Amino acid sequence: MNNATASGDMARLKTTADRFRSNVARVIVGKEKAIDLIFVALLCEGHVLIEDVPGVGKTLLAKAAARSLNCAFRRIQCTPDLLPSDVVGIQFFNQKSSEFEFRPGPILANIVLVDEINRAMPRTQSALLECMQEQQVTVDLKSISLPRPFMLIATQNPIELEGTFPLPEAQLDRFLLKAKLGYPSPTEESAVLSRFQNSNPLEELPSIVESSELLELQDLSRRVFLDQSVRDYIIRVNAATRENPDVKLGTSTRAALGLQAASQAMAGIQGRDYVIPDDVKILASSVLSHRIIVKTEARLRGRSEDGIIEEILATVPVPAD
Amino acid sequence: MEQERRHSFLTLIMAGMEACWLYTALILGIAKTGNDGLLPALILSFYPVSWSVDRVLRRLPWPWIGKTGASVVGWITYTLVIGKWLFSSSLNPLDVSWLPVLASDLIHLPSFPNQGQLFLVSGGLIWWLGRRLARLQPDFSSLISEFQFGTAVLLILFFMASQWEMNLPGLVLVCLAFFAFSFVGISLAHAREGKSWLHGAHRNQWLSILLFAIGLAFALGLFMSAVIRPELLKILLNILKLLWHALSELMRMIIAFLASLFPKSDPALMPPPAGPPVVPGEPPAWTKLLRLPEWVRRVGQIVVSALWLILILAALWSVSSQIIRWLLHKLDHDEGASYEPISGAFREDLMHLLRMILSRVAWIVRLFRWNRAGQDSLSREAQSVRQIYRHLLDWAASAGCPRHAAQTPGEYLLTLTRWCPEGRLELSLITEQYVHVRYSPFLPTKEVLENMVKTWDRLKGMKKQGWRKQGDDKQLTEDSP
Repeated sequence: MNNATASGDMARLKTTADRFRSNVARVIVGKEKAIDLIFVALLCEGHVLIEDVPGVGKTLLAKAAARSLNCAFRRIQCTPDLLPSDVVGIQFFNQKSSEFEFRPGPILANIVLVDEINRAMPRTQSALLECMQEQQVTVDLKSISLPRPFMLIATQNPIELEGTFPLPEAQLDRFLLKAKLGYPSPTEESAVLSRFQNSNPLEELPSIVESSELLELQDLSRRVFLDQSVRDYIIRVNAATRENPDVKLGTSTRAALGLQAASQAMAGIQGRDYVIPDDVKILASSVLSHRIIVKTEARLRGRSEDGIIEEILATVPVPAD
Repeated sequence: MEQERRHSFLTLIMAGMEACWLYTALILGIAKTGNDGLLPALILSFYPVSWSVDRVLRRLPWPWIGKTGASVVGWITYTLVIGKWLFSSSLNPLDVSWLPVLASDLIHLPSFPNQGQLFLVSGGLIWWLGRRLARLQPDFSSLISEFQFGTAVLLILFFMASQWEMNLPGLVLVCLAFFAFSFVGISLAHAREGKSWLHGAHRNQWLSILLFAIGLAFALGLFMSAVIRPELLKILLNILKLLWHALSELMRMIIAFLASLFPKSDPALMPPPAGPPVVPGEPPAWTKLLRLPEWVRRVGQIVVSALWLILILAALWSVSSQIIRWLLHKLDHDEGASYEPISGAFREDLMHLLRMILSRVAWIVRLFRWNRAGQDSLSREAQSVRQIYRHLLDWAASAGCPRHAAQTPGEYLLTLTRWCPEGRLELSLITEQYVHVRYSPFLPTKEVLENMVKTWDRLKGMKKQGWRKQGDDKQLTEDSP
């Protein structure tokens, strides 16, 4: 790949990212970082967990992101009585043809919004594991590939614990990124009110990226150059989570792979064809924080996952002269 | 103000380190000349005087020739003052009868080193060292160099003292002072540049690490003093001697065995003496046709010799051109490539001298060099971009704004621009180009490098105009990344 071609490809990636950002911003006021994270996850074929208090726009963001892509979109509203077959689909006996037929579940779509994922039972949550990692479902010993691109956007509310089932570590590890929205500022809140006063802008939101185009962009993102020193930096940051005295369980190799891919995508959406340590730093908290388990005594001392990641980033030497 | 104070403190430490080995050299020289009339303290006084004179001269808006001239005048004046003190018994300041005696000492080379020669040489050397100290940037690398150089000089001096069987007074104290100065200076400089373990992952356990290090040093000291005694050393030396004897005996046996493998000469087996030489007959006439004429053989000889000579010259040219290319790469200012001087006190002086010689050689070579521009310019430009950034880092660290090891270049740029907003554009450009070169596979063009060199020159211009002063006054603390 020569320099001019690389710059042209990355300019295309950046333009698409800008279009995606401005399109979603028609519905979501502010929250540029969360929007970028979703696009990064799209480029990496990863999945996003959006966690925040109710009413800050988690579902709306997921829906706006899904609508911006001209892909098949399904929504699964998780409840305690949701069964795995409700998600992946069932084999049923067609009396007309006297054959068993597969009726696909909502998971067989390009973009799947799993709303309030922590309200589903553990066995339903586990049914998503294969979809997220292998991008396939197995029904009656038959494996069915999921369409590409495939992305799962899950939302959960960390406050309400009654009637919920916390996601297991293996499941959390499958999410490439965890995004948080936070409350909007008064100015943003005012803009939200005025924007939703007469109509719901989500209904008029156009699709701006075709699925075939997205696949090409994913390929471009994987071709972003990553210097060995930056790769070593990712490994050092990852290893530091395992050595931190306040952490019971550090991050996995999958986390390092995720951070690497996400850094490439982040560089790409900024129009750069090479990764810099700043990309890694920007994404480290979103990629790693949900994968570590903080010791109880440390949590009682007020330590949080994000705080630990910040501390690690402030101590691990950056590759520079 | 804080930066200035730290700078002065490190300069003081560096002066202490140099004074230690200078004192040792002086007392060794005095003992060697066998004259106790020379007082080391008086000769050492050249050091602070020279430093003070140079500091004053640096503030004056004179050209460098004027400053150098003034420094030489200062040295001569001070030498006369101290010489009068040391060599004249009269209190009259106008009495110059001691000067001819000193001059005759100086020119009497067979008696080298005599009192006068030692005084003049050591005074000159110490004056120069004082000037050098005034211009030196006391940072971590220069302190490390001072420590290495001082340790080597002290070892050489002790070796010479032991060879000449001289019992010099106070050497233990000098050693202790030297190491105390060195360790304090190095630790402070290291901590000041933000690269020590105090800024690392284990900074929370600094007290434990410090206590552990002290405990370990004590324990090792006790262990060594308890174990390593003269008796033990004697035993070890005896073992080494035995081993050497055993090894030499083994080698002798092997050589004897190998020699025994060759058959001894037996006179009975000698070939019979050769008879009278047989004169060959006249060769057939047709062989004359194959014989080359003498002039053809001569020409052939010359051609073959010339071919060999060309091959040897080509090989020599290939090797030497690679060496010269490397030298030019290091020294070429004109083509925009810059190089980074190796920091450190004595190393820098030596490098300066070496560079001066090499630049002359390079200039001569360049006269005969074919134009080979652009052959390896790409890697040179990338290296130059990185070196310019390193210059920036070194300069900012010495001016009190070091980069934290965990700061990315982008984060450090924010710190730098907040620390000195006047140079925002230049700092941004240098950082941007550095990031591009450092983390991407693409190499910068010559134009980019030229632009960067110009930017760095502008930045240096700002620095000269008192930018550092403004930065110091702001007292901006280092930002955590």
